[in-house]
Amino acid sequence: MTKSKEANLEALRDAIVTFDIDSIGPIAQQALEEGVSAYEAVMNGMTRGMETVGARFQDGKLFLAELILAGETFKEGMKVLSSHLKNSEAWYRGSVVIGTVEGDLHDIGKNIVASLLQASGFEVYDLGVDVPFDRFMAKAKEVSADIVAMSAMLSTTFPNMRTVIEEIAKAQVHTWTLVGGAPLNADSVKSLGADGYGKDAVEGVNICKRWGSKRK
Amino acid sequence: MLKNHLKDDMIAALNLREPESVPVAPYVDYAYASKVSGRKVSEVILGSNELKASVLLQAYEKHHYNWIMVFENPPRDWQRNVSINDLGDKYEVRNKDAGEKTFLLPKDGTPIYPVGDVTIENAAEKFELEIADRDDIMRQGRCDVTKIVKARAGSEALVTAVVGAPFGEVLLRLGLTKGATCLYRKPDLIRNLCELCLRRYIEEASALSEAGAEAFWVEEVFAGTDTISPTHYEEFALRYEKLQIQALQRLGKPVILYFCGNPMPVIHNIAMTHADAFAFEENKKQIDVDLKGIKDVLNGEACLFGNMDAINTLTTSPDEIEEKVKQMILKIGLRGSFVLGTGSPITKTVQPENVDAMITAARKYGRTNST
Repeated sequence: MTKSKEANLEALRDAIVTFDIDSIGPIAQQALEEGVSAYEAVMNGMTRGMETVGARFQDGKLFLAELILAGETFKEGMKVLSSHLKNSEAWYRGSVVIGTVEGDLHDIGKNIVASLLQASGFEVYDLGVDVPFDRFMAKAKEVSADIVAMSAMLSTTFPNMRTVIEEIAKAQVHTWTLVGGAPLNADSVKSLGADGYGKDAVEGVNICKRWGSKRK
Repeated sequence: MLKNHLKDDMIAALNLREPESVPVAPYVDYAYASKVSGRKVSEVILGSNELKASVLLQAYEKHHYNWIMVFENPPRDWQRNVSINDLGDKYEVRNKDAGEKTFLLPKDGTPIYPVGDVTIENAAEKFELEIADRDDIMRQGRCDVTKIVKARAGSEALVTAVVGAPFGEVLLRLGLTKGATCLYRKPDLIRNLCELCLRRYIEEASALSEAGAEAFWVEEVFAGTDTISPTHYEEFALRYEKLQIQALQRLGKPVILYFCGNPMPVIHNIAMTHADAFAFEENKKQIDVDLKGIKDVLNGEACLFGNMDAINTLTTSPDEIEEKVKQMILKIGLRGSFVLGTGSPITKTVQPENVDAMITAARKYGRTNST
């Protein structure tokens, strides 16, 4: 029996919220076959589910494992939907160059943010770990990045974020700068001069969504 | 302080007796110890077991804290089985046979081991192969560092061996993404891998004990409620923590459970592991570790390690460090069952005089007669 559009979108939301990684592909396929556009399936189905998961994570009702699993479920759904998204549709939210700063090889937090950004419609250029400031700069210029996001795990490396931020300002690259990582707090972020600070992955992504593709 | 009091005070605290002064047990691994000995970390990691033991002993001789942490070392002939490629600022160490198990070694930084180096399909087989019995471990020389440290300083300081905890190892080896997926999709695989890991760690601990380890420091790194839910903690991590701690205690050695991440929502369960002592990370990642609340939960039935902030506090000044130590000891450190530790390993950016300041302050404010 054919489901209504709302029922299809609800099924997609539920699949994300219940981390149903095995079923989301067939659910997305069924939605397409029953006339739901890929754009609606992403924006009003899966993304709404991710928003629910993000809110529950921030309320302490869900945990990092669930956040990761929801992101993976989203990616499974996108395997079906992405080729149906038309270029003109407004799924694209902007571009983000992301990396762990020079001297620091921690990547768990950075990878989670990168994954959630992709699930939120951003084009993500992940430079990996131990990234010197000039690589951030070069990539941001090359792709006209909307946002440069930096992660650090060590108190000894987070000051390297300042170099990236200063060089971006000097070069008049009009991109937002976002920082995150265990040694940071609101005070240390002020001293860095970053535009934003995500105290966790979800907050970081929410900040990026607010900025979107608005040029700084 | 007389050196023979160092170990006695540590044993007293772990046995819930009042030490002469609050013992100090900082997390000193090869990163900081190499700096104290004037060597690069990579030189020590690639060096002999004698060199590894020597740098741990030099750091101890420099500061005279109350314990020496030791680590299982690679087999004596491990470099025969790997290729070491110079990548400029770091080395890449690759297993010649398997090819895939690589770690990166920054020339002046700590090794970066691969996360997610096993697949869901091959994890059990690989874990099984990694189980060696105690005698094999001894024959391979994997406890040489422990033996050397014990022989040279075991009469003065408590030689404490670091071992992993099954759940953390499983998540690390699968990687967080695969691990998180398996918690929901393949819970039996997680349990099976934890069982295999438990067997491995018990054999390793048995060997370390025979080599001279006098206590165990069990590291549970991925079980905090910032990472997994309290339900998952109870279902997957706690069970194996309990079994591991019981097995290690049967070796006749005290066990310290070091718990990373947020312990607060599961602190009553953590206490139920009945470790002899508990240690926690410093406050970071928006986590507020309430040591006073934890002490109340432990209710005098286990020793508590103070979690001096190795990242932010130990990099400040000796005066600031003294004040923080004073506050911590006055709040929770008097009347026994307390050891002043650090929430994470001391980094090479910490100045030795700051470590001295921590130790001096503990002995100043933590003396039995100081109140």
